[in-house]
Amino acid sequence: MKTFKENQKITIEKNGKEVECDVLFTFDSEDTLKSYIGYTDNTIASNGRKNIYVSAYNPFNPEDVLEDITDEKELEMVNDVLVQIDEESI
Amino acid sequence: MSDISNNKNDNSIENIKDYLERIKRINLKMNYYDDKSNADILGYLRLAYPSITGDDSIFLNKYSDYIEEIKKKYNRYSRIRKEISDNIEMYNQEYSKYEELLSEETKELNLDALLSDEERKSIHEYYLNKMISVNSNINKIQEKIETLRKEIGEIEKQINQEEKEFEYAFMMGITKNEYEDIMKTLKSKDVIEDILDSKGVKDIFLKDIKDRTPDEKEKLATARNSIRDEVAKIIANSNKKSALDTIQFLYNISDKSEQKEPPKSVNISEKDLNNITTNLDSLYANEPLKITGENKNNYRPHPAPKDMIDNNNQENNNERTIDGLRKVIIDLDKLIESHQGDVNAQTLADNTYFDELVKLKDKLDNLLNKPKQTIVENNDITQIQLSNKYDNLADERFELVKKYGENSKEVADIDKKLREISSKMQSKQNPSQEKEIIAKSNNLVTQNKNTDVLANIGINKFSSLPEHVEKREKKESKNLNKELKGLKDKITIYCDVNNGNKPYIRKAVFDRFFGKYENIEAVRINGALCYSPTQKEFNYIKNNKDNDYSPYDIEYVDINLNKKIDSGIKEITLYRAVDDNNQIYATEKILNMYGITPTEESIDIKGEPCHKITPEEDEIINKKATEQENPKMEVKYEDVKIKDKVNEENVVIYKAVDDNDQLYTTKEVFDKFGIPVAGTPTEILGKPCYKLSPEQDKIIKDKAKDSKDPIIHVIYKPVKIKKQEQTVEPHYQEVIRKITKDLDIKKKDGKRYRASNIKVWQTFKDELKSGNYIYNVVHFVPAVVKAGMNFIRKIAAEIMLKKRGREVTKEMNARLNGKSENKEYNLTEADLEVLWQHYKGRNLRADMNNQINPIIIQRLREYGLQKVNKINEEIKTNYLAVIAASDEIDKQKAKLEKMPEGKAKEIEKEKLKSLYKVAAKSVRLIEDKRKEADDLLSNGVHGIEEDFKAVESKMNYIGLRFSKQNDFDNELQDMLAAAGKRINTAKAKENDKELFEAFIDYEKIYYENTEVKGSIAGRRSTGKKWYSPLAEMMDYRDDPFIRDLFTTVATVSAAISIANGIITHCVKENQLQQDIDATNKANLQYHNSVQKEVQNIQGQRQAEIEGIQAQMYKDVRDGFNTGERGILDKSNWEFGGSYNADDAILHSEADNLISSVQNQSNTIISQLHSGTISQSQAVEMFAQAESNLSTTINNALQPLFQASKSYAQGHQFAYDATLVPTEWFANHPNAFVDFGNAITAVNQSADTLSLLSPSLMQTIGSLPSDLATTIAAGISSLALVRNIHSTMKNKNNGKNIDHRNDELGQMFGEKIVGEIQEENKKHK
Repeated sequence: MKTFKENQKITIEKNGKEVECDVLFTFDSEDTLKSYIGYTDNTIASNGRKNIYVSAYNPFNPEDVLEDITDEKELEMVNDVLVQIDEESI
Repeated sequence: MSDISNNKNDNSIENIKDYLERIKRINLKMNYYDDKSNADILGYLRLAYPSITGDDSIFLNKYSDYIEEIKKKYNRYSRIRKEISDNIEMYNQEYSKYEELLSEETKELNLDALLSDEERKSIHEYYLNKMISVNSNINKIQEKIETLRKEIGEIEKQINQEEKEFEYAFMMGITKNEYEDIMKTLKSKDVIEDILDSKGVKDIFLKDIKDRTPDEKEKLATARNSIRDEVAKIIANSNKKSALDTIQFLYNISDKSEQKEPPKSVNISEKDLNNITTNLDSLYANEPLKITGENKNNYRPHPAPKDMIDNNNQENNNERTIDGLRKVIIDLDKLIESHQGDVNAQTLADNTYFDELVKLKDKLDNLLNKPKQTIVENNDITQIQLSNKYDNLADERFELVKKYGENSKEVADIDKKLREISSKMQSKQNPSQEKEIIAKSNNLVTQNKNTDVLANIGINKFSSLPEHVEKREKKESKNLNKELKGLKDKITIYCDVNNGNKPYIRKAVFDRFFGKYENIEAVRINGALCYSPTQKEFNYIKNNKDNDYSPYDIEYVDINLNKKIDSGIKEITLYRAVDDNNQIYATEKILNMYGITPTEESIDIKGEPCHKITPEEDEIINKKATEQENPKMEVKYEDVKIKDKVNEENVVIYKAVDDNDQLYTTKEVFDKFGIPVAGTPTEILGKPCYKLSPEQDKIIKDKAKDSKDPIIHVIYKPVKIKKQEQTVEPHYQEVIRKITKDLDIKKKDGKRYRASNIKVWQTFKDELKSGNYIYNVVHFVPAVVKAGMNFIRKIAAEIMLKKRGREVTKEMNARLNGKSENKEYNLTEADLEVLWQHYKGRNLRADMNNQINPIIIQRLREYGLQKVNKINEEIKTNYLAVIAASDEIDKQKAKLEKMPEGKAKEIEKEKLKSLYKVAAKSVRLIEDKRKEADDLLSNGVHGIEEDFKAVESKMNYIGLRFSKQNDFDNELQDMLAAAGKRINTAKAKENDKELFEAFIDYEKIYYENTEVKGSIAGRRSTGKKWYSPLAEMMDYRDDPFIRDLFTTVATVSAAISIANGIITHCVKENQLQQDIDATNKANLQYHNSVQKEVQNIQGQRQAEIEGIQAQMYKDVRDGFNTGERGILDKSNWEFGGSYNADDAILHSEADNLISSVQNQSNTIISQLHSGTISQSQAVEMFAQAESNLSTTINNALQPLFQASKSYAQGHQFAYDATLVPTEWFANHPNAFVDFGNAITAVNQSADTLSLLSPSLMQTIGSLPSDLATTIAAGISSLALVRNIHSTMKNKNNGKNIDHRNDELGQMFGEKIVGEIQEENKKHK
C-alpha cells in the first residue's frame, strides 16, 4: 500500500520545469477507495497566497500515479479535510 | 375582647411601650378600673351581642347568674388591668429616672460635638437598656407585669366562654342552671346544635356575631321561640325531681321520648322505695327496672360520638353504670339534706320517708363498694370477649417485653395480633350494643376494696393528691361535686408516690388517646396493665377533659409501685450541661412539681423533654425539695452533654451525576441559608429540589463551616435525575427528529464522502499555527509530475462554498456522538439503542432517509462494534477457560493412566468428567457468542449478500482481504465437515468429552490452514482458510474507521493469547517449554533494563535544565568578555574615546541579556513547578531560549568579531580561542535548537516507554506462558527502544547525545533484535 512519510518530497513538472514539492498531508477514503495527498511547491500566487495542490491516488496500484480530483463530492471531502486540519492546528 | 395575652415574653423597652399602647386601646365602653354593676354588664352585653334583646328585668332576673358571673370576671379583669397600669406607671417612673441619670452622665461627655443624632440615640438606648437590665427593681416590675398579663389573658378567655354560654342559654330561653344541667345531661352541645340545625339556623348561630347579617339576625330571632320550645321539652324530660325519676331517667332506655310522664313530685311512696331496695342487688345487669310502672321516663341520652364509644367501651363499660349510681347517691344526699333542714317535715311519714332515703343511700353506698364487675356476654363472640382477649394478649405482651425487649420479633408478632383484635373490636362496636352490654351485665364480682376500686367508683383521694397534681387541679377540685352530677367519663391517673408522683394510665386509656405504646414504661397496677404517659401526653389528657364531644373527669389515685426503694428519700435529678456552661436543665415533670413555668423551648435529654432553669429556680427546687416530707426529696445533679445531641444538623445537597454534577437542594435549605429560590423544581427522591449554583453552594459551605448552634453538616448525595425524568423509551422517530432538528438538510448531505486516516506533516501544522500564510487552493493547473505522476490538478478554490453541507454533517455527527453544543439534541445511550434496534438488519423497515442514513449508519457501526468488542471479551474468557481445562484434562488423563483400577480411579474418572463438563460449557458459550457476534456484524440475507459480493468483486477492503487466490481444497473441506459434524452430534447428545475434543480439532484445522500476510489492503488471508478466534476481529482491525476500537492492547493481546493457546497447547503440545521459560526470563530482563534506562533518562532532566541555564549564563558572560576584547581591539587598545561609548553600550546590553535570561528561567521554572508544563517541555523551552540567546549574542557581537579579526590580522598572535567558536556558532545557527529537540525527544520516548512497558508487562502477565506471546512482548519493547535509538540518530548534533544514543542502541537495540531474532529462528 502506497504511503508517504514525514518530510517526504515529490517532484512535479510545472511550466516545463521539474519542481520539488513538500508533502503536507495525506488521507484515505473508504467511499472512493482512494487515498489523497496534499502538497505545495511553496510558490506564492498573485493574490499573495501559498498554492496547495491536492491529488488522489490508488493505494493498491503499485505504480505511483497521481490522479486529478474531478468529482464534486470528492472536492467537498477535500474541503472538509482542509477545514479540519485548519481547526486542529489552532 | 381584644387579646392582649399573646405578647411574647419580651421585656425590651419597645415591646413594653407597645404593650402599654395596646392596653390603652382596649375599649369596653366602660370605665377601665371601676367595679361594674349588673347594669353595666348588661349594657355591655347588649352592645357586644345585638341578638340579646328584651327587658333588663328579664336579664337581671332570669339570667342574673350569668350577669353575676360575667360581672365578677369583668371586675377581676378591671382590677388586674388597674394593677398592670399601676405597674406600668412604676415602670415608667423607673425608666424615666434612669433616662435622666443617663442623660446627665452623657451630657458631661459632650457627645453632641462628637456624634450624630442617630449615633447618640443609639448609644443612649444601648446604655439605658444595660442600666435597666441590671436593676432588680425594674426587673421585678417587669416580671410582675408579665404575670399579670398572663392572668388577664386567662380571664379574657373565661369571659369569652361565659358570654358565649350566655348567648346559648339566652337563645334557648333557659337559665344558667338549666343550661348547665342540660349540657351535662346531653353531654355535648350536639343536641342543641341539632335543634338549631332542624330550625335552619345552626350555621348562623355558630357564626361570629359580628359576621351575622341583619337578615340572619332576624331569622335567628324568629327561630328563637321554636328553639326554646324544643329545649323546654328536653328539659322537661330530663328534670330530676326525685331519686326515682333520676333512677328511671338513668335506666329507661325506651326510644319513646315523646310519651313521657310529667315531672314527678319530690315525694316517694313506700312501695316504690321497697321496689327499689328489693331490686338493688340486680340493679346493674338486669333489664332496666320499671320502677314507675307503665309511665316511663323515656328520654334516652343522645348517643356519644363514635370515637368516644370505641375508646371508652373497653375501659369504662362498668364505670358508666357506677357513674349512674354515684349520681343517684349525690341526689339522695341532696334530698336528705333538704329534709334535714325542713322543720315542717317531722311527721311520721316524713320520718319514715327520711329513714328510707337514708337506707336507700346506704344500700347504694354499699353497692358502690362492690367494686369491679366482669361482664360476660352469653352469645357469640362479643365485644367483651374481644376485649378480654385483647387484655390477655396485652398481658402476654407485657411479659414478652420484659423478657425479649420492646423491639423483639416476639413483641412485634403480638403487636400484630393486638392490632387485629383492636380492629375487630372497633368494627363490632356501636352505641346500641354498648348499651345492651351494660344493661345485661349482671355478674358482679366482689373484690377487696383497694385503691383501684376506689378510683373506679369515684372516691377521690385529694387529701393525698400529689403536690404537682394538686396544684394543677385545685380549680377543678372546687367544682368536684358539681361535676359529679354529670355523666361524664372518668379517667384514673395513678400517681406513683415512690417515684416523684410519676403518672400512669390504664392501657385502654392510652389506646383511646394515643394508640401507640412503643418504648414506654409498662407496669401492673392492681393487675391491670398501665403505661406511663409522657408529660406531653399527660397534659393532653388533662387539658382535653372539657372537650365538646366527649368530656370526662380525671381522678388521681396514689399508688406505691416500688416499695422496695421506698427508703423515705426520693431523688430528683437535674441535668447539668457540661458543654453549655454547666447550664442546669430540669424535666417538665419536675418543673410542674415545683410550679415553675418553662420560659424556653424544651430540648431532649435522655428521652425526656427538659427546660433550662435559672439559678434562682434551681434554688427554689432545692429549697422545696429539702422542706418536703413524705416522701423526702433529694436533689441530684447529673452531668450531660447536650450539644452533640441537640445542636447538629445535616443539610443534604444532591449532586446530579448524570447532569454534569449539577447541584440541587430543597427549598428548606435555600431558606435556611437565606438564598432565594429560582427556577422550576426537579423532583429528586420524591422532593421538589431547585438548582444550586456553585456560588450558592459556596455560601452554604461557608455558613455551615462557621455554624455553631446548630453545627451544620453539608452532605453531598450523588443522584441520577435523568433516569427519573426519562422513564419512557424514546421512539425511533423522536430520535431521528432529535438528530435533524433545526438542520437544513439537503438531498446529498448524507452522501458526503468521509475522509479517514488523516495525516498532517508537522511542518505544515507549524506553518498553519504560525499564521504566516494564507493558502490558495486554486481550481485547476495543468501540470505533470515527473516519474509517472500526472494530471496534477489544483482543487476548487471555493473551499467555503459548501459550508452549509459541512456544518450539517458536522452537527449531526456531533449529536450522534453526544458532543453537540446543543446538548438537548445529543443522543443518549438509550437513543442509540433505539436507533440500533431499529436499523439493525431491518433497513427495509427503517425509513429510507438517504439524506441522513449514511451518517447514522456510520455511528451505528461503531456502536455495534463496541458491542462486538464486548462479546469478544466473553469469547476470550471462555477460550482461555477451554485452554486451561485442556491442560487439566491432560494431567488428569496422565494420572488415570498410572492408576490401578479401583474405587480411587473411579473417583478420578469422575473428576475428569467434571473437567470435560467445564470445557464443554465454555465451548457452548463460545459458539453462542460467535453467533451473537455474527448476527451483529452481518445480519440476515442482505448482510450475507453484501459480504459475499464484496469478497467476490473485491470491492472494498473486506472483499480484498478475504478473496482467495487459491483453488478450493476439497480435502480440507472434508476434514472440516467431519469435525463440524462431531461438534453438532456431541452437542445433540450432550457428550461433553466429544464436544470438547471436536472443538479443539476443528479450531486446529482452521488455524493451521490460515495464513495472513500484509498487503496493500492491510493484513490479508492468503491461506486456504481464514481463522479468527474472536468475532471478526481481523476483518475490521485495519478498517480506517474503526481500527481504534480493535487496536487496544487488551484486544490484540487477547487474540494473540487465544491463538497461542491453540498453538502451544493443541498444535505443538508440550514443545519448546524450555525455550518458552528462557524467553520469558530474557524478556523480563529486557523489561528491567529498559525501565532502568528510562529512570536514568528521566533522572537527567533536572541536570539538563540546570545545564542549559548554566550555559545561558555562560553565553552571556563569554559574549561580554568577547565583546570587551572586541571593543579593545576596535579602539586599538586605547581607553577613552570610542572605547568608553562602546563599553557602556556593551555593559548595558549584557545587563539586558542577563535580565532576560533570568526572566525566562524564572518563567519556565515557575511553569514547571506549577505543573503547567512537563519536565520534557521545560527542557525544550530552555533549549529554545538558549538558541535565541546564542543567536542574539552572535548578532550583537558580529561587528566586534570583525574588529577583533582585523586586529588579529594586524598583530602577530592567534585569536582562535574567540574566532573559532564564534564562527562555528555562525555556521550552526540551529545547533542549540537541535540539541534541545534531541533532549526533548529522548525524554518523550522515555516517558512513553515508562508508561507503556508496565501495561504491556501486565498484559503479558495475564496471558498463558507461551512463546508467541513472549515474543510479541519482546518485540513491543524492542520497537520502543529502537524508536529512541532512531530518534537520537536523527537528532544527532551533539557529542553527549551521540554517546548516549550509542549506549542505548548498544544496550537495547541490536542486542534485543539479535536475541529476538534468535528466538524466532528457534521456534520456526
